[in-house]
Amino acid sequence: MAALPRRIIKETQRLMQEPVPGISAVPSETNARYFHVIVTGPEDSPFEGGLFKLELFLPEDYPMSAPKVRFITKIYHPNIDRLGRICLDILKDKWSPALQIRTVLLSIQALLSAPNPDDPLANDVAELWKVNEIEAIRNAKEWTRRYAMDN
Amino acid sequence: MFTDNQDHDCAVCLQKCHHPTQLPCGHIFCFLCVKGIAIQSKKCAMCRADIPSDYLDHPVLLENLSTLLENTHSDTEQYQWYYEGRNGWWKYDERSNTELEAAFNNGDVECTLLIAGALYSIDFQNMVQVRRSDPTRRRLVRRDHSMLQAKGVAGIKHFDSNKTAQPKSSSENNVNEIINQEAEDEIIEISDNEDVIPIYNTDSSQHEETDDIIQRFSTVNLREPESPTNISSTEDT
Repeated sequence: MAALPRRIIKETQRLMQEPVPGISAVPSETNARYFHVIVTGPEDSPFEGGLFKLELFLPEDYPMSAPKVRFITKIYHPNIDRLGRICLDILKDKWSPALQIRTVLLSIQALLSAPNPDDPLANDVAELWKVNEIEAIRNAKEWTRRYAMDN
Repeated sequence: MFTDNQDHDCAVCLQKCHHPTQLPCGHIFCFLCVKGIAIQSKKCAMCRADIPSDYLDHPVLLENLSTLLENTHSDTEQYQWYYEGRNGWWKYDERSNTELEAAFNNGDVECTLLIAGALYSIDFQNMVQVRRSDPTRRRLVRRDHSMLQAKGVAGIKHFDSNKTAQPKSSSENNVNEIINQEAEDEIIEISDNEDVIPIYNTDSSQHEETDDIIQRFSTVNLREPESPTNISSTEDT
């Protein structure tokens, strides 16, 4: 396999040596640009207690372009669609090469604490989140229990 | 206060700042990292301030030429890698050179380098550098002793006593004459994408003619710094 840019090697080493609390990112054995990620649901959010699996891929021109990240575990969230795609500005037009794998994953974890139904990706979820937040949060807790615990 | 950053890691490559280069907003990165963001996102990686479209025509390097040359004649590296550019051979930057030399001595058939945000494969059998995202962009490479006459390092031109072009702005930091060869290529490439200059498109596979065109563009860029700016500003609108 082609050599990895030093930056990716360095980021990977730091992720292993100084892991971010509540986040684990482990490179695949067969592809060092593909990471198996687990994010714990933040405290005081409807996702608390859940372990959410994600996949993260560093494209060839990383860090000039953003990592590609997707939830694998089903999640009830207005900014994450049923395919696990994430609506987050730093993964799109607000990407900067000074951001890193760890900052991206921290931003995703923060998105779980602060859903933004005004910039939705999952329209039905966002709609309910706006008109009936209590029920939406109940759904999110239910999905967390069903899909993100004991698996 | 910003000059302290020179000793820190560059936020783009996460390595020690290499040929530290300062953007108008004050943030400092490696020269090649600045080249990458100036061409691709056109924004500072730290504060997202816009990078002027003509920035690479006169980048602000925070080290003087003697430091630059000392760095390139390190005793520990017997061999220097060169790539073919306008009018001759250019040295790879020291960091790329170290990686190339290590891969070559290791018996690898190729080496992959991330240079200015683009991924390149250097094929040791055919001694050619190929851009991964666009295999038509090829350059010859060679491995030779480090005293070989070269045009410059990684797009930073060596001081030339009979130079014809002076940088337009003479900021006190801007002590080196900077001829940004890769940036010229990018200007051509952008034009290519936009079909502003279709002639490059049709000739891109033919090495000699491409060189010829690059040469013509080099001349344009050297003597008429306004021209590339005009091209990009037309595209912006």
